[in-house]
Amino acid sequence: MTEFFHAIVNYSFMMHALLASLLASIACGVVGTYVVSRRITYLAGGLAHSVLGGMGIAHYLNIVHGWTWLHPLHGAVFAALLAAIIIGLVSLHSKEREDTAIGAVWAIGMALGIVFISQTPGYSQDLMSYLFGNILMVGSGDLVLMATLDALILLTVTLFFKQFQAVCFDQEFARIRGVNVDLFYLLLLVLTALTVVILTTVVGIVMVIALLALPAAVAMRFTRTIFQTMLLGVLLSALFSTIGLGLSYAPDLPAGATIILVAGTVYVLIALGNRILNKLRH
Amino acid sequence: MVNELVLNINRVSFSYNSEVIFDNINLTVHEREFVWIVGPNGGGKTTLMKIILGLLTPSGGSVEIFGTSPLKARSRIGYMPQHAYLDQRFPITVLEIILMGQLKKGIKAGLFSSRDRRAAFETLELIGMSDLSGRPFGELSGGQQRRLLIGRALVAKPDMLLLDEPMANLDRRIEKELYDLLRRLNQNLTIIMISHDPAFVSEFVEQVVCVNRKVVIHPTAIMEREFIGELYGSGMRVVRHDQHHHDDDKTQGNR
Repeated sequence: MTEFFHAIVNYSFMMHALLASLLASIACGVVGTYVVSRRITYLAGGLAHSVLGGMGIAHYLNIVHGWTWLHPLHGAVFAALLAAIIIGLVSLHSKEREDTAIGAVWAIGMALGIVFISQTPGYSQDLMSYLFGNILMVGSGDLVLMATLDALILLTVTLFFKQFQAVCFDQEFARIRGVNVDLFYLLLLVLTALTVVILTTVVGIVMVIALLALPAAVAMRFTRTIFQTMLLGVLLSALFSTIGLGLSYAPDLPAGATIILVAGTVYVLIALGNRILNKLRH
Repeated sequence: MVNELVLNINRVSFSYNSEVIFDNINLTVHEREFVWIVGPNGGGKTTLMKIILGLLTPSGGSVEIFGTSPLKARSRIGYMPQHAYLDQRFPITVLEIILMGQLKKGIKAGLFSSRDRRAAFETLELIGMSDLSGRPFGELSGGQQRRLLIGRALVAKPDMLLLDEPMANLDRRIEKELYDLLRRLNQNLTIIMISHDPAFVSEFVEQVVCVNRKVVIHPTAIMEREFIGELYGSGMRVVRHDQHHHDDDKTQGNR
């Protein structure tokens, strides 16, 4: 661990990595609370994987056609938002089953990404870093984008806290009270999409769902309100990613996977501990 | 009936996935009436309530509440859904749920006002839950959850209450408490309540509406003939639901 602190002070890439995980924790704790309480983890998984399509196309245009201003992360934002709106509209207005639509968006996004990345020189390395994350490669431009998305998310959640709470707890009642439930559900999916993009830079596409769901799920065992869950979720998420980053540094383990293992271990231990406590009480 | 007509369901039909749920039903409710909707599961009780609330749109006929459409009248209706459909593990407190009843139309940003909070505490007082305001939803008993959801429906001061199975799975004592609360509320507002248990009709119920694909209305005065006795304590009437003669029973069967 001392090596880790030494590295943070001395290498800007480690400082960037730490900042990235802290910025990601904000979105993760706040939006993760909604994802867990509204039970849309699978939907978030679909959004996360569809992001590969956007990243692949942006990367292809960047390298092959010289669109140097277009960063893969921009493609990711676009793809996540598009996927969120497609899934949202299907679940609100179409007779199509929602889980089928999620599965389709999930797979089509990935397929598009793989095709475009395969047509771009040097593809295998890029594909790996999109799928499994490469937090040590985060640049200052990425940090600015992440901070901007965080600010957008916090602003929206602060403004419409009561509407989101009602839409997650009792959608039908909210509708009768005159809340535009469809609009706020779509907005919630948009926030989820933005969060997924932020988390992609830390743990990669494949592991986003874990980082999105686990801190909030652990927090919910100790909290009484959405607001408390968000606060504790942010703290836990920051703790998991800092510890994961620290543990991965000296043995040169993949940082994203280590972070997920830390979060997963805590989740499993707390779930088991809770079971044992309940058994003892009865 | 001297009171003003507040709900008029006129020749309403409704189908779901090409299955006919209602064909040409009629129902009228007057101000400060207490109406009990009974009928077997799958008979369309909740569907009828959702049509009244404008959550479902009938394929034919008209629904008028307070002289206007359900969508426009909604803000004057307090609704309590079946509590089983809510997530017991959702992180939310009693006070937050009551406040939810004060959500307003449109995209109003920001937190609830201090006026909203005052009204919420007054309602908690009314339903006798002031000391539980910080308690999480999942830690309440079934009876407390029912009272809380009635409170949420009440906080915006509605003129009509729609309650979906507020009495399901409650013991007698708590059922009685809820009746007393509803009876007090009924002095100022119209109450329409669903119950799947048709055996008991409390004395202050004025209309029993049997919903089983068709709607059959029993004014309680007529039901006195079917009185079996005060078997279950004072003030309760027993409706022999299995024996009443609907005109359509012979053709429709008992679904």
